[in-house]
Amino acid sequence: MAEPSEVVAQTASDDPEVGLSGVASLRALVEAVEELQVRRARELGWSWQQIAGLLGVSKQAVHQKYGKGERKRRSLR
Amino acid sequence: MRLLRRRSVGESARPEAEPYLAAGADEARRLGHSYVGTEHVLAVLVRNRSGGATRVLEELETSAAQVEGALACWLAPSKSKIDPEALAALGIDLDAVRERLEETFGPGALEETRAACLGICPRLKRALLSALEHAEGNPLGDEHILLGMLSVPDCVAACVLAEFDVSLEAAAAVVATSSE
Repeated sequence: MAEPSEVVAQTASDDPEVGLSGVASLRALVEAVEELQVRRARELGWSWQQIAGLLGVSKQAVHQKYGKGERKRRSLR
Repeated sequence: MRLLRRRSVGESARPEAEPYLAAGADEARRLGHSYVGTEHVLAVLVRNRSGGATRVLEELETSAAQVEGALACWLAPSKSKIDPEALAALGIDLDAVRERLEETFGPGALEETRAACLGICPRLKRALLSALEHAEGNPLGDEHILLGMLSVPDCVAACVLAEFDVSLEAAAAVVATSSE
């Protein structure tokens, strides 16, 4: 495990290439984790409203993003 | 490969084409590319030195090795969408994250998400559909995939093959004679 100061130093890396691919990777990781969490919450019966509230986005936004995939998965079953 | 299931070509192509798509996807993933295209599938075809595509190319005086060489610039390895090294530079251990996620969501959960999913180049979809037409109900072979890719003139595979003067007409003629 890196020391906190070391992490900070690396975060502020001088090399934009490292920094930018870190940002892109973080974004992709966030998307992936969000998808897993939203899908599971829905399977556990959570409402779009509840999910949106915790994600800090509008109900419409979260529904638009994940609602379609959910209908597809259901029809596959 | 599981990454393609959700937006599988199955919707637009047939299961016969799936092994080619899967092999192309493996190649794409190995290179860290975020999509699978005709260049990946062509690489798979020419690597099969005893396959139908290699045979057709040889008839047209083009060796598999030449095609592999021309493909090289398209198949440069790149960083994957979620790059473990870039995350490590931020102090994030992707393996540890993956482990935690799999505890809750099951094995391979991260790779199954849309975000980590490989895209399929639309031209590859068209090429695979066209390959099925070229097979005319016969078992789908490497040579049909080759014809399918040559039928989509603006795809990478067709552009690479054009460097060797391999055209749809010429390749189709070889396939027609050899199947007689």
